[in-house]
Amino acid sequence: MKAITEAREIEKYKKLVAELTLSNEHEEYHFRSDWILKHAWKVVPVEDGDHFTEEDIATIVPALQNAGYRDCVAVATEPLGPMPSCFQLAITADDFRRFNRECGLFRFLLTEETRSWAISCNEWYNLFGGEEPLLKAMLGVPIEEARRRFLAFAEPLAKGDPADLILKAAQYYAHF
Amino acid sequence: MQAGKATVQDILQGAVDEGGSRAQIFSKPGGFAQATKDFEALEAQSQNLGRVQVKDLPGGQGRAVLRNLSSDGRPTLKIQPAGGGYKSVAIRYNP
Repeated sequence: MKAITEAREIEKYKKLVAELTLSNEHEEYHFRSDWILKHAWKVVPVEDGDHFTEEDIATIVPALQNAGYRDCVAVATEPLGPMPSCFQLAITADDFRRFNRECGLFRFLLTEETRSWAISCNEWYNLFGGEEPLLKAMLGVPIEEARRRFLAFAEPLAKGDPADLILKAAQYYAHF
Repeated sequence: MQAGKATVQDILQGAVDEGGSRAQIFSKPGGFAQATKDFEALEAQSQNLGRVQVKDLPGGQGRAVLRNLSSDGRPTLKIQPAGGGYKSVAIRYNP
């Protein structure tokens, strides 16, 4: 994993990410519904583990490698002052662990040049987006099972409040 | 709790354990005022990074990040273990 420092490259990747995420302040980690629909994506929220647990890494990395991906970019979806906001990652367990170490507390979106998949990480959950076969491989379980697991995380935290934002994220992305 | 000398365990005093499988989730009352008080009580210099404040804690306690508005709609103080190992401590501050 290495920080991207060339301004033009950073701008390029920020623009790529801006096209698939909301522009509203504090909500830049959410995917745009028109992007999801246009690209026939499914989006599934997964409980965050700063950002990926070892189990996540052991599932995501081979899924992406088997689909032919060798590297990706991580772009911040929040302002981070002087901290690097753009990184190049190899699709390897080591780079995903390093991403956790350096960026695990911050909002970042992982994707690749063609944006055929993306994972948008925030402090409570990660949004996995892509077409169904790849997404299922990245999740390691059927999509409905992943949604069920996220609801099992979100519902106790909501304590019956239908306006709870984690619960609302689960309900919103269940439409896609 | 002495300002600037508290440990993560100190600020967890009185917090309610909310479970969580990938982070240890706690809640406390007091909103952003209490979150800020707890963050400032942690030993280390803070750094502003955009909308968040960050402290690298001494003694292998890891890194703390304070958010006024997290994706659950509340102020949140999250502490990642040193070296990035999970699982982190996340405190949600209710109004």
